[in-house]
Amino acid sequence: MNKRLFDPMLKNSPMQDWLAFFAGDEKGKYLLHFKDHHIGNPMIRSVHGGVTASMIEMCAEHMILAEMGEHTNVQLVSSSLDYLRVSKDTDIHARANIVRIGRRLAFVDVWCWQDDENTPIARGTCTLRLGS
Amino acid sequence: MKHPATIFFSPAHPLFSFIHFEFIETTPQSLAVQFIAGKEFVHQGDAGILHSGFNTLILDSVMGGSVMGSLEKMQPIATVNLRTQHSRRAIVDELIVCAAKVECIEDQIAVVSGQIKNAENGQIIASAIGSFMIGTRATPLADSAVAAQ
Repeated sequence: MNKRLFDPMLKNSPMQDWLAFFAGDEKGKYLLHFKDHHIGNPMIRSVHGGVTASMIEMCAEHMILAEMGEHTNVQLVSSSLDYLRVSKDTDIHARANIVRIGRRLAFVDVWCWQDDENTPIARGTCTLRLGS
Repeated sequence: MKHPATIFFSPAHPLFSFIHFEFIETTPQSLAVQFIAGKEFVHQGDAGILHSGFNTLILDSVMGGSVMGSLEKMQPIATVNLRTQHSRRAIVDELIVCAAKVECIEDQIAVVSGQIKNAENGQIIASAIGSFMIGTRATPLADSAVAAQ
């Protein structure tokens, strides 16, 4: 798998490796490649909600870095996540949209799905602090 | 009787082979764990700063675990939503406490609050409020698709 399908700015970090997080084939699309340690409920082999949450937060950060440049200081202030369906033990796709970039704050929406973008498993809104 | 979370979050769990919880409070309405922030979750390598997703991962787990203790019989639960305020990011090897409290349960929805703090100085790292569905059918999508055929 090409680790930098879309954006060469996507740097490796241990967390990114642990999540198996990749930029997708178009701007704003991301992929979490399923690993066994992502399991939350072993009985039904669903992905842990915190893993999906981490993916959403990483998507939001990367969207802002892609838009503003990799040297921008971005810190997550808050996240608000809704789990829409039970997940399963396969890859998760995500699409991130920038709602607004202000002088000090940015707001990003992220939707996640597995089989079909029309049946999302989770959505999130992230607020990020810029600069300082 | 052992709190169900102490069984669920054992090192046999795929995720909790990476995060080793020491249970410091287990009541029917609350759960608190202590652990050391692991290097697997570092996002800014030079400073050893963990990704904010680590906070969310821990809060979701411990808050869900607190709901398990409030149930008369074991039932599947699922996170409905989670709102997290990130005060700062954890640092690798930091000793951390995560505590969660079931605020109320109405109509099979548990409302839970949670906090992550530095275990030594009590500094807040993140706080959250979330809702958890009790008695979810929790059928994976793969099974649903087979059943629908």
